[in-house]
Parts: sequence; C-alpha cells; structure tokens
Amino acid sequence: MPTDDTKPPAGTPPPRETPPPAPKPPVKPPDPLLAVVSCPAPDRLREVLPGRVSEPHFFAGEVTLTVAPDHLLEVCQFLRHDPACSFELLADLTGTDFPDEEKRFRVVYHLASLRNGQRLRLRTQVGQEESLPSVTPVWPGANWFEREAFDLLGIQFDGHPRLVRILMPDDWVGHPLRKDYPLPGYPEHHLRYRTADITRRSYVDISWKATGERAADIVKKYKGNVGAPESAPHVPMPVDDTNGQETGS
Amino acid sequence: MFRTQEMEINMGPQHPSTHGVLRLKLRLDGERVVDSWPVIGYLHRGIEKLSESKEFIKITPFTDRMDYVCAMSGNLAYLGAVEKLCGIKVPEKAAYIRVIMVELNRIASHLLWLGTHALDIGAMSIFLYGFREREMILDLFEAYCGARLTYNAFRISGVPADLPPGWKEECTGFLKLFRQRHREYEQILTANRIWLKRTKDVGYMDAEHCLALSVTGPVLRAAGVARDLRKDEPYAIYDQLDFDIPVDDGCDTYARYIVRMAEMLQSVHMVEQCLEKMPSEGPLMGMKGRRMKPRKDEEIYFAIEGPRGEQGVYLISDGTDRPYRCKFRNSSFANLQALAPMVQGGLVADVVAIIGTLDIVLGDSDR
Amino acid sequence: MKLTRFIQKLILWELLVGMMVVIRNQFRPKVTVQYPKERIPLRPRFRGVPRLRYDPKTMEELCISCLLCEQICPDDCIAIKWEKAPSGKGRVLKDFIIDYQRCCLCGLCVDPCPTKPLTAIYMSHDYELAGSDRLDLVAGRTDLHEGRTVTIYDK
Repeated sequence: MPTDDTKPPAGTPPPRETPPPAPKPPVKPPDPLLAVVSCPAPDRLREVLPGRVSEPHFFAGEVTLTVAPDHLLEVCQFLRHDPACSFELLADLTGTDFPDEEKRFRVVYHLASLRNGQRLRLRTQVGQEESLPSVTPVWPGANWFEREAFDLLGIQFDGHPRLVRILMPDDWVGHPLRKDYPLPGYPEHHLRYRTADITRRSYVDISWKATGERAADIVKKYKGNVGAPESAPHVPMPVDDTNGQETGS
Repeated sequence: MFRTQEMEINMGPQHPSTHGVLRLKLRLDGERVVDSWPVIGYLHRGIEKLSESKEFIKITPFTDRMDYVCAMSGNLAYLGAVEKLCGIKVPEKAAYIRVIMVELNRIASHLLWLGTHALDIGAMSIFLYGFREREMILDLFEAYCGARLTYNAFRISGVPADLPPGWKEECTGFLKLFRQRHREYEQILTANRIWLKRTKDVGYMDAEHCLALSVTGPVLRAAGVARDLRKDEPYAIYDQLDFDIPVDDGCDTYARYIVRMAEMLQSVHMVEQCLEKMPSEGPLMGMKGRRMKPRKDEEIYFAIEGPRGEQGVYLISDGTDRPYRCKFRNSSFANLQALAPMVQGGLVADVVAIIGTLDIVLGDSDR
Repeated sequence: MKLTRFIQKLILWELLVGMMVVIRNQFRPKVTVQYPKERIPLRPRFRGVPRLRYDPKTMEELCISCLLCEQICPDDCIAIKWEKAPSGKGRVLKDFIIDYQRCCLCGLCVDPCPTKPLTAIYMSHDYELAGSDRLDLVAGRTDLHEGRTVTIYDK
C-alpha cells in the first residue's frame, strides 16, 4: 500500500475520522446519511489496482474515493473501460480551494455509469504549484470543465488541448473562486459603472450597507446635497476633458 | 483558376439566433465551416462565488437566474441538494406540487425551444403559437407563486403555499387544450418537407460521442440512449408516476425535435397523474425554522433531469449554515461542448439550426 | 399505399395541412395585449415590489422592527432603523428603507414576518419600476406605505 503512507497529510483524514466520534448520545440510531451502499467500483479497484485509491467514504448514498494525482489517469482509464465499472459519463469536474491545507485544491470527478446505474466520486488533492494530469484522453468532455477549473481556481492540467480561460475575460487577473479572492473583487481591477462621472450627480454606492453607516443616514445625506460624493469612493474615469464638458453641459 | 481563402467571422455575441450572448468564432471555407470556437462567459455573474457568502435559503433566488427558462428545475435541483445534505424529508404533498411545477416548466421550456428553433430555421407561425401556450403556463405559475419567470417557488423542505383555489381546474383545462395544440404543432412541422430538409442529418452526433462529451438530456436520448434521471435515479415522487422515456436513434436535429415533442406529451401525462394522485391534505413543509445544521466536511452531488439534461448541484458543507462550496453543473455548459464538433464540416446556415437544437440558455452555461 | 403517398407528395399535402392550421388560427381570438393601454389582470399572489402595510382597522403600523426580513433578504436591500420604545418594551420603527435597485422580488422577506394575521411586509401588485435617477428607486417609509406614484403616459 504505497499511497497510504502519503495519504495522511493530504487532507483526507478529517472526513473519514470525524464520523466515529460524532454519535455522542448512544441511544440515537445510526445516521441514515452514513449508510454503506453497494458499489462494485472500489472492490474492482482493490483487486486490479491495489493501493491506488483510499478506502471508500460513504455519505448520503454516495461513494467517494480518494486518489493521488500520480495514479489519477491510470484509475480513470480503468474506471472508464472496465466492464464492471464502465463509467462512460463524466458528469462533472470541479475544484475547491482549501487555503489552510498543505495541498490547496481538492478536485472532484463525478462519474456516472449508464450501464450499471452507478455513480462515483473521485477526489484528489493538488497544491498551488503542482499540476494534475488532464483526463481529456479518457473523457473528451472534461475539456471545458478543466478550463473552468483553471479559470476560476487556477488549477493547472497537464496535457489539456488548450487550457485558456472560459468564463472570465481573457485579460482577467486572479482566480475568483479562490478563498483569498475578495468577494467584490480587487478594486483596482474594477471597471466601474461611473454614473457620477457621466451625469455629474452622486449616487448611493453599490455597497450602501457595507459603508458602516445605516442606510437611512446615507439616503438623507445624498438626498440633501446632490453632487458631493464623499462616502461613495470611486475612481474618476480617465476621460479627456472635451468629453466631460460635453456630457456636463 | 480562382484562389480560395479561408475566412474567419464572428457570429454573436449579439446575433439574434445564438439565443443569448454566445459568441462563435467560425472559420469558413466558402459556405463550409472548417472550424469553430465558442466563446462564452458574457453572462458570468459569479453565482458560485456569491453563494459561498450566503445562507442556504438565500441562494434559491440565484438558481432562478441561472437557467431562467426552467427556473423551477433549478430550484428543485438546488433544494434537493440541500435536503440531501441535511437529510431533510419532504412531505408527500409538497413533493407532488414540486413535480407538477417542474413538469409544467419543462413544457414551457420546450415550447420556448420549439418556437425559437423553428424561427431560426424559418417557420414563423409556430413561434407565435408556442409562445401563446407558454403564456398560459406562466399564468398558472403566476397564480401559484406570484412570479412569471424567476419563480423562487419552493423552500427548503417543502413548498411555501398550497395550490390556490381553482388552480387544479385551470391546469386541467390547459392540459386538455395543450394536447390539441400539440397536434397542431405536429401538423405544421413533423411532415413538412422544408422542416425535414433543414433538420434531417444536420448536427449529427451519435451516442458514443455524446457520452464522451458529457452531453445529456434530449440530445443523448435522440442518439438512442434511454438516459433519464427521472427513471434511473428517481427523485421526488417520480417512482410513483407512470411515464415513458421517448428515445429516437436518428442522432440528428430532427430526432431531437421528435424526442422533445414526445417529452412534452409525457409531461402532460405526468401532470395529469399528479393532479389525480396528489393528497388533498397534508403538511407542506418538512421542518420548522430556517436554521440548517449540515454535517461538517461532507460533500454531496444531487442531479435532476432538467429540460436540457442533467442539472446537478455539488455542495460542500463546513458545518455552518452556508455552503463552503456550491457548484452548479449546468446542462447548457456541458451540451455546448458538442457544438464545435457538430458544426464542423457543415454549412454555415446549419449553424443556427444546431445552436437551436442544443437548446442552450446562456445564463445557464455562464452562471 | 405507395400511390397515396405519391399523390400526397405531389399535391403538397403536408404543407396544405400546415396551412390549414395557420388559417384556423387566423380566426381564433387575439391574445396580444396592448400593454400601456390595457393590462393583464394580476393574480392575487402576484409578487410585485415589497411594501409595508397598515393595520386596516386601527390604521397603525404593523411592523414591529423584528429585523427578520432584513436578515433573510438575499440582496441586503432592506434597511430598518429602530429605537427602544419609551415604555422599555418593544421597539419603535424609525425608518424602513428598501432599495428597489437591488430587490430581486423573490418574496423571501414575507415568509418570516411574524405579525399575524396580516404580514407587515407584503408583495404588492406594483410592478412598474422606473425612475430618472437612482435615488428614485430608494423607497423610504412613506413610499412603502402609500405606494409610489407612477406616471402613466397615455399617448
């Protein structure tokens, strides 16, 4: 079992070890969410590719297997082509950012088998500087999902046909779904809607409740003296003067 | 003699027949499409990022705005995921009401698809008829939940309100009328030689390629694979309903038309059964209060069969009442991948037919 | 069988059937509504913009400033200003503001409203939201009670 040595720091223990201490009152019946479901894939993997994947984790009738990035492609190939598994459909591929863990991104592959009516979740961990093998040779449909994971989280996939941004603009800076990316975005990258510059009037800032004042005060202030945007911080739009005069007059 | 040259043109993002803001870079050799590159993301609103900062209940209005053509399915997929994560049971009556709404919404979505798809190809009147009947469904939704497009009709663990008085009769009347009107659509299109010429053998994609490209829904069923999550992994009360999965093995645009038309009738059949079987009394909400306590560090994936295919939600909880990660697996996004292989080698006039047949909603794919 | 199909093909039978449908539809009643002049009657549950309600009997304000609607609003568009009541029990509503620019008309704020039997906040039947200024769309307490005046352009 070579992977078991490398597993513990990879962030897998919490989900597998938290269930045992959970049932504090012993009178409670076992949680139906944690029931074990039958799935042939873990057994087949144990037979054919021993030590590549972790023990299955069951929750709400779903099976999760953890695999190291080195064995990912091998396991995927097997799951796709083995007749007992035959996961023909890659339903979803996505990543999640866990900034506190050593390997930062957790990438999950949701596989579905039409022939056997099974679902399986493959999970792997990858660090910020590392890269994952692309599963496009196994499921070509992973192409856009991997592009999305790259776009929103910055996960690199080796062997992807063309790993470019898909949802964000090509010149976007940063990866928005990372946990350290602020929710309103970086202010210097904002392309703001500068009503004040165009109409020469102030407006209630979009973050009207986040300014710390109560909204009533803001409204009173703004309804009172139009044209003094004090607490609505906005970067003046870099327009040339003639333009500004034309809109102002 | 004459020198030919490949030309690169942009179709969209404001092209009327790209059904939204899809931009398609096409490389053309005369009338033939050599290569294409879909550009999406013009409608990206960061719903997944936004969801991470909201409580579970507050995310429901966002799901309306993703796939705005079938917002009920979006609501059901998301709420089903939350209920699965927290282990909440939905009362039977609420489940029936949900299925009625989702199936009516499927008819409305397919009617919108039929109208716009036919309009793209050149059939004008079917567009007007389809929207006329869709309006009646929207009236039913307005009577039930008060909104015509962004419904927000369900809550976690149930539905907020019972069907209003007189709703059942109105719905039954509509279904009766719709069966008639459905026959009219078939009379206009199914045997029409112009329609056949524009749709037969256009956008061919067989089952193997569909599966490889993660394409689901009517496109996959039109390739001969009877994949329907309502039958394969029954959620809500679908296991108590009697319905068929329409399958066609034409693999082309016409087969998808046949499949979707048959699906509309199946939905009518399902709504009729639901109205009949629905218990008249019973609780509507499965739990009191709004505080959610999911188990820590667990993840679930829940998928339903939306009008466009598998509509899934992936949630990771961190034990609080907000999701740590909320990912929407939207069928338009996955199905749009099939666009490039489908249009390749075809005529440029068929591109609009193929975009129509994939039934994409850009709000769905861009999130 | 083959012959009938040939004849059908020759006389454009399926196109004639389709044309019959179109002609039949010509004589059905019109469904178009000339919007600013005529309006569709709204259903009782229609969700327009949220508004506040007086008690119909005593004409007192129903809102008790419990802040539940402010908490559940997904867009943070509700802001409530309140003070402790002089008697020491309960709260006095000072101001109630809804930013209609942000409101998504989801109706979630009505669900938790604790005043019975009528909820203090309700989804009204007003749906024509337009203004020449952003501040036109920030509704204060009086706007929320009396409704907003809508200019109807009849020409």
